[in-house]
Amino acid sequence: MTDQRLPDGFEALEPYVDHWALATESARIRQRFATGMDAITAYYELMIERIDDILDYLDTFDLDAMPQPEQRLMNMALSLVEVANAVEVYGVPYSDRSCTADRFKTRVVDINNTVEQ
Amino acid sequence: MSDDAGDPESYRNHKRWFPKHPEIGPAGVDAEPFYSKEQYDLEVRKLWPHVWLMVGRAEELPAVGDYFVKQIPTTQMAVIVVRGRDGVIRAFHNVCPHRGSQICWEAKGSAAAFTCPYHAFTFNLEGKLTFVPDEANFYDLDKSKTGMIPVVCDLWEGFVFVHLDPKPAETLKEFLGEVGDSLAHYPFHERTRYYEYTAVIECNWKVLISGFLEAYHARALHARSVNRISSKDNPYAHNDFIRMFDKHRVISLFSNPAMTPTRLGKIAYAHFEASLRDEAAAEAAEAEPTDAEAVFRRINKSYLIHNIFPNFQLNLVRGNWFRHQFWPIAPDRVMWEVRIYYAKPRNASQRFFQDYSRFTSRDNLMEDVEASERSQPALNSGVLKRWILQDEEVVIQHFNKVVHDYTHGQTPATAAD
Repeated sequence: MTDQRLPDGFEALEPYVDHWALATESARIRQRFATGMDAITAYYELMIERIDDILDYLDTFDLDAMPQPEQRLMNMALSLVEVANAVEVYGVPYSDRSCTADRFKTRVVDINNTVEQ
Repeated sequence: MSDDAGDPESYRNHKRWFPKHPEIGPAGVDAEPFYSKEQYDLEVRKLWPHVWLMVGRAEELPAVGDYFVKQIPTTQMAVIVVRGRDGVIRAFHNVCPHRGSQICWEAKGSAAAFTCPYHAFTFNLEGKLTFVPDEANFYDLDKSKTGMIPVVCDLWEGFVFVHLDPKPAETLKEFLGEVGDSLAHYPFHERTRYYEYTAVIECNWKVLISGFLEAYHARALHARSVNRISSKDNPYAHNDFIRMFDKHRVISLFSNPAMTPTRLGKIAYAHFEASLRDEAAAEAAEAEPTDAEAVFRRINKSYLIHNIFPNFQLNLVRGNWFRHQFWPIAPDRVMWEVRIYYAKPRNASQRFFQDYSRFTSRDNLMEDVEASERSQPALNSGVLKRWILQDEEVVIQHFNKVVHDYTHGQTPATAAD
């Protein structure tokens, strides 16, 4: 029995969980910088076909208390956003004029409650 | 002093600004203040103790006893900001009057009283010393004169400001002036989620800020994403308008009317708009198909930068707001903190949209960092004596002139020195 890590219906995305189901913005930026354009484009093409359904599905869950499989799917959707500019605007994974991906500490805060480090 | 282009097409023109502002002199500034230790020391002594400094938001202290500690590394200080029993927000130096320990060892919390972890001197939420262990062993200790050391503190539109001079030359309202008035009642407090980026940048704080005061670099540095703020008619991203006040500056960035959303952008905007309608709609009405492009244009039509002296930049962008803060820690090093505010996302579509809507700006900031850090070593060499400024870089000149007025003694605050 294989390890299913995403909700039912998203089996096509399972091979991409390890690389793209990342929990923080810092991790997702670093991954974009560390990934070649071919792999980025493949992920973008795969996800953008499905993103309407993914968002419609995830919208039925409490954003702040998603079960693990749904949270992984959410993180993969956020990785799509992370790589979108590379495909749609830049044409490369990152700008050659940019500082490196590890320069910033990121945090997500709902005032008085840190959501994500 | 204030200036408004008036004509919405004036971005087509050249040399709009310097001729209107002879008081800031001919275009160009000395390079030495961007790297010299002498200038840095002058700023620490004559600028930072004499200005109002933004340190947080009132919403961070919802209840009596809530506090946070804000580092002010430039003057090697830290202030405790706390909501007292009377609801008033006060600030104190994080320095125990006994032997100088930090009173708060946590960055934030909630307390019924402040007890110094070192010897347990205890203070109430208004800073009064209420308990000294083994008090009988002190000589001539006047508890009423040994409270927490207060820092002048005031609020503007929910932003908490402090002033390190016990007798500021201006009130906060006077300091903020017309820029403060222009932002009255903006619903800053409605945006309770922020995405924060912090970094130590290896450049002078004024080099980093100067990069945010002009869009002239966008065509070169942000070449791949410049079409948001430029167009065929405005290839060099001339600003809509700028306003320069006594200490502060406002820039309205040009917004490309022909800009259209990308493929993912259309999806993100459509889901976002639908999620707002779902929230707002109580009655059933057949949902109109979402015109993602119209939503995109409505949301993207404005980008207003408020550069509030000395180190607080407040941007109203596309229906939301974000801010930068800059804390110099060396002539060629600055602590930088960005917070991008939104309403708390209520579902996946809203969170998805919030990431989509800020990533281009975020990536541009990473290019700005690189450009600033590439400038600093070159400036440190001392080889360049002057910065040449073009008309769209006028705001850089204004900002650096205000700094110079403090460090070289023209402003009311330093007249008292």
